[in-house]
Amino acid sequence: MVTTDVTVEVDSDLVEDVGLSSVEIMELVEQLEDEYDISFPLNDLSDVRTLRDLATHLDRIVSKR
Amino acid sequence: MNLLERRIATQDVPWRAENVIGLTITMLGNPTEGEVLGKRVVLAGTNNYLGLTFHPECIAAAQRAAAERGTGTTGSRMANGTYPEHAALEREIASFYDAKSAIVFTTGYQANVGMISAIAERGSTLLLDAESHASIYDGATLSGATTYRFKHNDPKDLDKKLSRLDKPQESLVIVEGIYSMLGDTAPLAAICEVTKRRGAALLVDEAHSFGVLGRTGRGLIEATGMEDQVDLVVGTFSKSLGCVGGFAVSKMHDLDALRVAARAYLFSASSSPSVIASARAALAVIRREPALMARLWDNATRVYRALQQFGYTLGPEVSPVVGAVLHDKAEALAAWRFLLAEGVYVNLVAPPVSPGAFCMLRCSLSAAHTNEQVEKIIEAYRMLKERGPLAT
Repeated sequence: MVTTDVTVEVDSDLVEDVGLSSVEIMELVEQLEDEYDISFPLNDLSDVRTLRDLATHLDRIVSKR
Repeated sequence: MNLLERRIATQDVPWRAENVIGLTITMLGNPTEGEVLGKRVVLAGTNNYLGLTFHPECIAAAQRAAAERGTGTTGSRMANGTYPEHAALEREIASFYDAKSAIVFTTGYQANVGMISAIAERGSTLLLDAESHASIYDGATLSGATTYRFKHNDPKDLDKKLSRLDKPQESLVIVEGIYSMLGDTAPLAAICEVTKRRGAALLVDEAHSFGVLGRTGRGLIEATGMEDQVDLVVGTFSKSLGCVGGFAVSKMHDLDALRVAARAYLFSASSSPSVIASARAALAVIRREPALMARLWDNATRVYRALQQFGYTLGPEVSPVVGAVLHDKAEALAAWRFLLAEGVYVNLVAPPVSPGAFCMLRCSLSAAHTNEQVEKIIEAYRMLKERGPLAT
């Protein structure tokens, strides 16, 4: 489980502000895949810097199901 | 500050101040002894599984080839870089695998990047085991294919991800024979069942298992009886064969047409004649001397069992790669230094090279390790455990 003590805002940068490493971002994606029963393409990760970016991609994937 | 200056200034390098990444190793005339940071050590972090780097036949073949064919080919395989010996090695690899065809690459990294990006394209799908090697991820990026990770060694998660695809027959699944950090093997029979049922193709990277697993050294596909179920195998010469280079081989398909689609093949200079000669000699040794593999597994079993008994957190099965997990970076560095001071060199590994948010001491065994050297490795780890946490 990825955990953090930082206060996370919707526009927090996952690396710079939240302090997640690339390994932790992959763990987070894995948790989201399980939670929403989806497959998250690695190709999309290059566009993801903030929680808002992540939510936008998730929304698109979930709505396509 | 320009882009280059900014990148250099901001690049995170593990243990940068300690200067322990990419350090120099001086070989001392045999596969298992070297000098590291001024200390004479047993080398237990080399991937030299069969110890063939100093085999007299390999050295003699390399010397002869350099004298007769020159030091380099100065060209790509598709231009002036295919010598009769490159073609001969491809035939010999195909014969070793009882396969239809083989392609030789200049490095193992290029074999993965080249083949994956030649097979998959925009519109295709790649499904990679989460702990895949960087060359597999890089091949996926270069291909432009939609790429998903499935959970490490989890055929159920793979099945779930394949079931969500509109066209699973347009997808390639990629797993490894032995995973390089914790030494575990893929559950290949289950992976094959899922992949075939869904109509996908399957690539197995046998970089660490070629010459190591299976009755004749053909890797995990042979050890699990799955040779007829796998579309493509990728491997390397830089581990069991003790030189450098890579290959792709297939029992099911003629790969020849993909040479012009594999950019890593098309736009790299081909392997030097000496490298090709030593690879051919090493392959002949492997075919002739199965005792090497038995010796490797004997050494691996002794070290794995001992470290398990000492209480180290290891991979799930006996393997020539024995990775011990350490959670703290400072502790990992201190432990690595302790082993070095005791005369044992292993690999010090940090994320993202390690398969998780942890550090590791990665020990790899060789058939060339003597009983005394194996005892020395075990004793150093025992003393390390006995000392307890070392970091200050």
